[in-house]
Amino acid sequence: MDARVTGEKVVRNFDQYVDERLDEGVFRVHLDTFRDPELFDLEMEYIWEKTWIFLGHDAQIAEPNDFITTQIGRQPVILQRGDDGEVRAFLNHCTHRGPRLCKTQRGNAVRHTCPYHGWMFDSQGNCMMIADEEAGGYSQAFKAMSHDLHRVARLECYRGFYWASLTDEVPSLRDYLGDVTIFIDAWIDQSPNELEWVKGDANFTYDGNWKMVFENCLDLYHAKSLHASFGNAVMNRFKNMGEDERKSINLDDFVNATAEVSYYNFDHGHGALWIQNQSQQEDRPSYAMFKEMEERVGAKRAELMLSGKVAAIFPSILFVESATFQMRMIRPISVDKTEVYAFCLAPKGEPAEARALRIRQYEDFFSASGLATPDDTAVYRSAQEGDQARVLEWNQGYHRGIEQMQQGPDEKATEMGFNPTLSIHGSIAIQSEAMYVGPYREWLKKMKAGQDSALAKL
Amino acid sequence: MTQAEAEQFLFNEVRLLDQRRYQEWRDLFGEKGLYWVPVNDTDADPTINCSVIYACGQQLDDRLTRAESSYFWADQPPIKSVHTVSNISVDVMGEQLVQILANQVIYLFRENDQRRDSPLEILPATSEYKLAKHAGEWQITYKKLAFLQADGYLPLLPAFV
Repeated sequence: MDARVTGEKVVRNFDQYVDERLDEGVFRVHLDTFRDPELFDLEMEYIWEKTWIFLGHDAQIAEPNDFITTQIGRQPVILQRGDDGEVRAFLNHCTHRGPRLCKTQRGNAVRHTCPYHGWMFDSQGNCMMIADEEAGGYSQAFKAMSHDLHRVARLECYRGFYWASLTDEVPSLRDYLGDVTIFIDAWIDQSPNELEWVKGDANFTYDGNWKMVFENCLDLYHAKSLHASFGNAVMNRFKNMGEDERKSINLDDFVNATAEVSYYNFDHGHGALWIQNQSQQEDRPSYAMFKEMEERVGAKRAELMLSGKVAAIFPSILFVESATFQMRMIRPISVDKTEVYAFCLAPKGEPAEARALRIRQYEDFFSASGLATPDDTAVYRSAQEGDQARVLEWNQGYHRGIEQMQQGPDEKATEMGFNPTLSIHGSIAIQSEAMYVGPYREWLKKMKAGQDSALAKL
Repeated sequence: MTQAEAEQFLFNEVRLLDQRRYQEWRDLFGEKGLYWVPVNDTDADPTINCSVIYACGQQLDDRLTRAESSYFWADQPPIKSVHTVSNISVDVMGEQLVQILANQVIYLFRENDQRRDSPLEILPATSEYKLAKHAGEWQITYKKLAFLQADGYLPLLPAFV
């Protein structure tokens, strides 16, 4: 890659990493974006630490003083509901010398005491006490400093989902999400009382780049081959049906070619897909509340609610509904290591039988020993290792369905009244994997803007 | 069931896993036996919380299908295991019913992986079994396997662990 050096900054020509020539039927992403550690650091600096990153759901911090710990890019963050009920996000860093104040994944704390020198902060992040301050001989300048925990620049909530940004230079969260909220709403509105968190997280870690899991969830092409053993289990189950009515797996559309699918890209890098005309809708956990949903939100939106669908919110969070619904939070660790924090969210007030079905379907598909997700996890590592073939600069995995791509909404989107930038619609047999244009446009935009602003500061 | 019989039962059960004789292992559970591997809080109620595995009957058969499928990619190259079982205590609850508590350490390693430094995964766990006698044979009605790291990093697991 071309690079010139300005001061201490190596300038990269990021245009060379994303080869978008849609009029010629070409879209490619350079393999260095998956394997270059310096590029990973730049992604953290220019994307993750300069945009909206998902932190957590309201249900995880339901009570006053509840907190969870997470990261924005590389930076440790606490999301806490203060004793006053307000939710705040601050860096998990003692103002004095830097130790993390919360050392657990989750908890409840009225105050945070740093073990190192005993500084104490309340659940709103205010510094309550500097140990032995009186005798400390502190200067006026020190006394004039704020000792409170550093609040993140922006924290906003979309219907229970908290996002934060370390910089002010972001649009409002609502503008950032744009019309992809149609999809998010299709989960939230399944109950008039919205969602609750079903405990028992299906977290996983894989030896591969963070973009692999993001790409995977917008790819239906891998289902038949990678999840063939899951398919086998389902076929076996069909054979045994009647003897056992307890159907914890629904894989209808791997074998049902009558289904159709729409893929979408939205501004700011978000993607979505929506499987239509699925069979066996009655086996989905949400079916139990379908009638009520239909009456409340109308037939069109209820149909979207019940469908298999995915919303990938760039860069940090994936809403995935295959057999059942899982929310995945991506936490990049290094160029070839990624943690995924995965949660089961479910409509409040769901009948117990439907809830049990949901939980069992969730485990069957997603868990560390599930029948599907481990195959994805294993293949990410394998792809990361294969992509070390540095003689090669490009993969060919972004072209399937590219001929069906259209600007703006397809018929389904127009019907529903939302406005994607790009659409693909057709038979499920397309199994498109072309809808990465939007995410990588955003990747490129953020990398260039990040570099420009870093250079301007030199 | 005597202490020695309980030990032999468990040694045999985990040996079936180590030897990947999954059909025989699955048969130990009969139609009603429940196999539970919790996640996070290992005492959380599995009927209203998600687990790693909470399976019986058809769900065990689904896992067996996957285990025996040549498309179980997460198990390629195959994950070999060694189970060691210790600290066994038997609580006889009747002529036909016993509860056994035991500690286990499960070692997992991928055989013939191109990456020869593929990590050896070590999974210490506590386990709880309930056995009932059916037609003269002891069957597992309940097996709970609670990993020490249930609230932390879990590696890719074989179909049954």
